[in-house]
Amino acid sequence: MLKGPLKLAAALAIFHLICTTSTQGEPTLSSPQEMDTGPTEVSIICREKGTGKPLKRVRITTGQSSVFSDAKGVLKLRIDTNTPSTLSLRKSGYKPFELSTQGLKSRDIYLVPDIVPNLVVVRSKKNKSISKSTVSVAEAKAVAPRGDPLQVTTFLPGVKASSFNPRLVVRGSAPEDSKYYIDGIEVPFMYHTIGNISVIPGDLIREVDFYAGGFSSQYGDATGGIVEVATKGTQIERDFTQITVNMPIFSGFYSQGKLAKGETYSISGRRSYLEQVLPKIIEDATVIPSFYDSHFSYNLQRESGESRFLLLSASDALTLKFPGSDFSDASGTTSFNIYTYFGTLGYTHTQNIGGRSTITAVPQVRYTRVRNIFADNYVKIKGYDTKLPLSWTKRIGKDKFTLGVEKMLNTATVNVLAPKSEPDNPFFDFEEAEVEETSVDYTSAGLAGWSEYEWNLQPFRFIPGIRIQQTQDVRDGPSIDPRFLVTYTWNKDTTLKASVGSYSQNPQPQELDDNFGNPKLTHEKYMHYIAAWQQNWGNGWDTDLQVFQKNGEQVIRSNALTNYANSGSARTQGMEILVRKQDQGKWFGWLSYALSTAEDRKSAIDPWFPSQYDQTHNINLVGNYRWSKQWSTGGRINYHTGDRYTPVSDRVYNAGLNKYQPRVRTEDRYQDTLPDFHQLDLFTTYEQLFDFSKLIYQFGIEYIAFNRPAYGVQYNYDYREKNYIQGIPPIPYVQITGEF
Amino acid sequence: MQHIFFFFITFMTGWIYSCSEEVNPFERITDLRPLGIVADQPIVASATTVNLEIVVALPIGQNIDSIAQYDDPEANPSLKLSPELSSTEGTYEEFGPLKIYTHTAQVAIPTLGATTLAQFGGVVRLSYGFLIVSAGKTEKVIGEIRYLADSSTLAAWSSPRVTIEEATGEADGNESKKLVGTLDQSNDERTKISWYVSSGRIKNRQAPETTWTEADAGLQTVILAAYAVDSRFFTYTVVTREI
Repeated sequence: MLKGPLKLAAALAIFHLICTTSTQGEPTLSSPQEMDTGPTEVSIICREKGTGKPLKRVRITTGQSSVFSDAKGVLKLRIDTNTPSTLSLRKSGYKPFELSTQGLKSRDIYLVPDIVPNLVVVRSKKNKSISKSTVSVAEAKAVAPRGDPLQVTTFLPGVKASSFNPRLVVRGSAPEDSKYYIDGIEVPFMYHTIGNISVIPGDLIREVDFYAGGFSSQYGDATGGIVEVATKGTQIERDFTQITVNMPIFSGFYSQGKLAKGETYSISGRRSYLEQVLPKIIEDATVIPSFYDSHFSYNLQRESGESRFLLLSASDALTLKFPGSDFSDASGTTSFNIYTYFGTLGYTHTQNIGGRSTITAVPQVRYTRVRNIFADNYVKIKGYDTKLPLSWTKRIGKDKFTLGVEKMLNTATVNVLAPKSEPDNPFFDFEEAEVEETSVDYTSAGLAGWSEYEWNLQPFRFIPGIRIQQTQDVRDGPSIDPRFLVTYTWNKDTTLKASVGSYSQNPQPQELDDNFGNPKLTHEKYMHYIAAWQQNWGNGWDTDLQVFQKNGEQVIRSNALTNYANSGSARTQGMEILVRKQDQGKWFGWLSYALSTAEDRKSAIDPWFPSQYDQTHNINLVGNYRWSKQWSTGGRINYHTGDRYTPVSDRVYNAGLNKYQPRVRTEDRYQDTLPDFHQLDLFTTYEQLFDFSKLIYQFGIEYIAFNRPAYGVQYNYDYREKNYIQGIPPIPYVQITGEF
Repeated sequence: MQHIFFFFITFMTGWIYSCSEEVNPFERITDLRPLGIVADQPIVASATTVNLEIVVALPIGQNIDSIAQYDDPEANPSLKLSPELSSTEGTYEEFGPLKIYTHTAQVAIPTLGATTLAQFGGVVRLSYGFLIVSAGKTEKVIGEIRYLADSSTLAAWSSPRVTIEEATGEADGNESKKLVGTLDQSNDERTKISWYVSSGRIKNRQAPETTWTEADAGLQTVILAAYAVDSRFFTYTVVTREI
């Protein structure tokens, strides 16, 4: 399995040898200087060292006059090359370059980039959504391990990410309550199971929008959060190819370029090999993850609009092994195998139709395959999800009106061989349960319509919206979700926002199953209430304070008679604060803190209990410091209250099965918490610049902690002693990226 | 120099972490441990009295303080039974550092009507339990008897038997010892095997053929038990080995 990475490493080594034939670190002349006589016309092409990109507006001063390079980086001079003098080339963001005129001939010069602030926007005041966080890719890359910009969503307030769960927990919502989009194309998950590595390469990403709640009517069937990624599309500025070797996690390549005017492409592929390395490092490794992903995009820009074509596939596998009594092998070890694959084909088209109107269509189809194997039992799912969102946007003065429709068709085949679950019986034992083999074909169709009006009445902005969605299998009729946002711009530095909205979510497919679920389930309904204060304090400092309340009704809970019922309620409330230092020099960073409580109850007559996803405190300290243009150090510290679990209060020995069976009390539901979680990710990056290429070295460690983080509780055979299921140990890694 | 220092700190910090502690393994008996319940008729088809023998292992210096009937309020089976202990005292038999305690009981099985049998799909699970206390440790042990609607299948069920063959090779505290168990059963059902030892570890505690490691020097106890999952027959054998 290491052949692939070794080949890449060899290619990288050859690439390095080629690159090192040119001078490093200092501005260079591309050819030796020669002597000449008399005034001569000299043409100099100014380029950026490391990329070879032509630089416009490079100023050269000769005596009292200055000349600037054109869009192709060309500077034309008429100078006496026999008289010794010095020319100074200057451009903001690059180190000055001194050039001797003696013997000067036409040639290329390469300016070394200097430290310049990244232009970053987090929670822009122009955001029309209340809990939207927009993070520039440059900033996200600088603070995320391995330069993976999508990881930044896990650094924001109210977000909890698990190393082995590819989906996010947002403001106490279950992972399946949030949605993920790439250019409007929905994907089932955005992160791999290991280290929250994103499923698309960082260089493909232009912008990451994260909504922790109170999101637009455009988004439906979600009650948690939204992650929306915008790719570069036709904004790809230059051609380059990257080869990345990360030891010990993965290797991959990425290539982007222009095919013709207004036409761009990108392609990538990655494969992990941690599954080969981990068992060699850790004896009795209990968690063994692996993944791969690939993509191809083609983008076309015309005066009348833009088209994007995206083909994306990602796969994750996870093997779990632990001492167990259920279906254990001869050594007393129980194992799970989880495999997930999806392939998405999507087309995003935006058409200007005149009259300040645009139409956007995003037809998409996704194939998903899931295979979970537990001893002799399995759950296998194959299915297609097809969506056609269509929206019309019209600008009316300063205002904007949007009307959208969305057609959905989902088909799936589910094969299950498993003990029939008794979700309401806490003493359910797999070995004693009746095993059922089921094969079900699902077909579900839905239609949604939504509308939003952005009414700018300075200093106020009002955005009322509504979303109506009808899903074939959900029998309580269409969900109707009105949403409303108001912002008040006090002055140029102060903005106040408030939002209230209804959010509905369909039952999960397995919850509607005739055998394992309840086909009579209806929508879950949530109300989001949010108030926010955004303040710019000057000198690059700003803050964003939010308080929120999220109430859920008709929440689906297990039921002894019907498997599931819409009997539950949920409520989450809390506050979040983001204190941010903008990048104005050598460093930037932010501190995010969330204080919240999440509770739920089985029915209206039952008491409230902490939710499985309750997390009282969550703190992230994120930053990056640039020692020089080539050297930088970044990282983050994360601390959060430990995850909740239900403790075992008693046990009995089942003499027929030769195992102890746990007993839990109803009143103990999610009453205990794991040890508080703390983690430090730290890395240093060095860029070695060549004329037309560069090598980027990143050295770092993830999961640094004085105690390995606990992800769950594991009891001994008689439930008298408990142990924490711990994550992988700190992973030191070296990542080398060759870009040419 | 500044950067080199930073790399050093980065990498060194990464190796500071603690590993989880190993818990006492299932197969090692160091305290009161129920092994199973032998029922002379774990499957019945009419009213009868079933003789039970509760089998418990415990260290040689430890005794059973009390044993009583236990009614598990959370038990899932169809109906509950109330066994009666035969006497107040059980029987001890010593095997090296462990001893086996057995205590007999009887449980009366009532006649179940056709309606009840039909309600539970022709197989009714009758549960019972015992509460055993020794040296401050309490064990709640539950068992089941299966009541079948069709008596013609009764003869098909019989108890398996287990034996431990002579171990091959010498062993001491640092060497492993091969253990070979045999399971003799006529029923076509899943039967779980389980090894127990007074010290050391069993590599594959649920396999007939396995390896015993890290045992203490001196006379040690080895137990092999079998649990028939459908019929609920239970059997065991105990041997001692000099290490």
